[in-house]
Amino acid sequence: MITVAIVFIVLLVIRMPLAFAVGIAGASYFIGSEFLPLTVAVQRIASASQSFPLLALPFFILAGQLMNISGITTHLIRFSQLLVSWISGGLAHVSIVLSAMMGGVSGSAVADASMQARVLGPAMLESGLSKGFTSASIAVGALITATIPPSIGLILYGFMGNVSIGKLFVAGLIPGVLMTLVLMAAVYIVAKHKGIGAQTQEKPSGKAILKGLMDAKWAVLFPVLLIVTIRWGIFTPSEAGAFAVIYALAVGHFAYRNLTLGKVFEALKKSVNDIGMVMLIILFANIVAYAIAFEQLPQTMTEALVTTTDNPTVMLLQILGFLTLIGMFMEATVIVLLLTPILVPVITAMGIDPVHFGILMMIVVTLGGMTPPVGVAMYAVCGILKCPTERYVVESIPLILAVLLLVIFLALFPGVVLFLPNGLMP
Amino acid sequence: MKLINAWIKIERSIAAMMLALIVLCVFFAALMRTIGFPVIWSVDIAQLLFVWVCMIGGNQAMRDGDHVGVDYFVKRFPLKMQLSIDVVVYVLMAAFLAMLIVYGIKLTLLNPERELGAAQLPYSLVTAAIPVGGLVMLFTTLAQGVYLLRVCVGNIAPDYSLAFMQKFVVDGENVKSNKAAA
Repeated sequence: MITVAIVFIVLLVIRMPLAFAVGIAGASYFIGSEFLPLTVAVQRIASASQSFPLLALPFFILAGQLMNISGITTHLIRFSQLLVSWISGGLAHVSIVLSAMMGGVSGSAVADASMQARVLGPAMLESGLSKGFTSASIAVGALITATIPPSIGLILYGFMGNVSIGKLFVAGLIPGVLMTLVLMAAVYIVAKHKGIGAQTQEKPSGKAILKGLMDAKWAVLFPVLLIVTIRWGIFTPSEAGAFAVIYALAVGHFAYRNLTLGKVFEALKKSVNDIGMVMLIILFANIVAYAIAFEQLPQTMTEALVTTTDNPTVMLLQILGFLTLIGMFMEATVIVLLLTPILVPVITAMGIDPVHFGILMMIVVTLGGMTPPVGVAMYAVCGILKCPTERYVVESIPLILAVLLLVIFLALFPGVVLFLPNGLMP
Repeated sequence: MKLINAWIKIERSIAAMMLALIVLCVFFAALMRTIGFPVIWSVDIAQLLFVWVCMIGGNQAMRDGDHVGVDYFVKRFPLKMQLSIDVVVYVLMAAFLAMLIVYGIKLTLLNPERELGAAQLPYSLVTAAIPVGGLVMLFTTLAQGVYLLRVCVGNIAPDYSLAFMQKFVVDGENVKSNKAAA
């Protein structure tokens, strides 16, 4: 197993694509073993692809693409602008609220961050916000997407850890809303401190908000529909994904009238690339997951961890601290794929709810994408806005601190995360 | 060359249409179940198509240089060394893909009677996606790898505008210096 880890790290260092690094590392375990034939490794790839819950992933990737071309995104931007651009910090708040609303549609933090950097970034710079502050609020703001349903990370966590994806979706709602508020508060404090003004002078009237809401209703309604259909068992999360695609098509065609067959075909092709990229990592990671189970790593880990403390809360904070650290060096998808099968049995044995843990784990590992040295969302945003990393880092510190405080709060009070899923889905 | 371009186009279209079909199959199944006429084969077809979309999509992403890797360390090296390291990466990838093809074929032939859920299709249609996907990816890997090798030994001048060469570009720097050198 140590050989597998070394092979994996060496391959990462020489810039092997993640999918192949994880695949070759997994295969090295089979090659080194006397009684495991390589056909079993290939078999693992095939069987991983036949999981029905995993189908939710391509659907939400495709739905996100369709949202962008169907005009739903544009309507959401307009509505967010109306709602919060009067607060000190101006468009930075818009970016955060937009992430929260987009989170209910797409579900990938990196996709959300790069979309916003392209669409909203230039306007934010023009309004007088600094490059560093703009990039930081877009990148860290995108973290909200990781918890608000449908989150692609949570689908993966549920798939690898055998936890109900429906429950995870419902549980992500309140932490997502809290994170939106906490980040807005942080932006507000920074803005006040630096004397950054608002974008518009007046608060919007109730009437204007209502009109804006009507204008954006199809987009705003979507996450509500999603939760309702999953909660009352009308759809499984995967079926809800297929529904999301059809919904985006219908809204783009009938309500906003700018979807053509050609555009849909383009969205399909683009999605195939994204799906191929993510799914290859997932499928090849299943080879390693087999090795982890075969070596009984979770059991060994539990025994080792139990000796350090018998208090579940201390244990939870320890594991989260460890994950935050790893998150800085590794991409979120890979961490979820490799560590979920190890950690879920460990925390369950300690008496921690896997749904509660899943939400917290998703937040901290995705946060790693917003920090150096390896931060996919950070590099995406800074690359698009041409922002030097040092300036991004300085401006992102207050926002990241706000998120970490929220994580500690959620870890100490599991009820905040769990009352909705447990109340709604007993 | 023409033939290859035509093939790339066809491959893209097939994958896109498969994805559309997957959506329709799952949506149809959900709809029928809601109104009380469950059809099971529809989801089986969707899952069969899914493995094909994953493998072909993986090749598509490779062709467009979309696969992510950690460039934190390699980026610090001089360009010449980056190129040489990448040749090693490609050799390893090709070896892994060859393994997928060989053992994928073995696995596909291993158990011909097994059926896929309720659809009464042979399960080997699922496993066959792995050697076939591995084969198209091996082609892409070899094409890109040979190109890199030729760049390394100075056989051809690198064209950094190619999708899979983008990772060597730092803010369009190399493109300019390359033009100046030419």
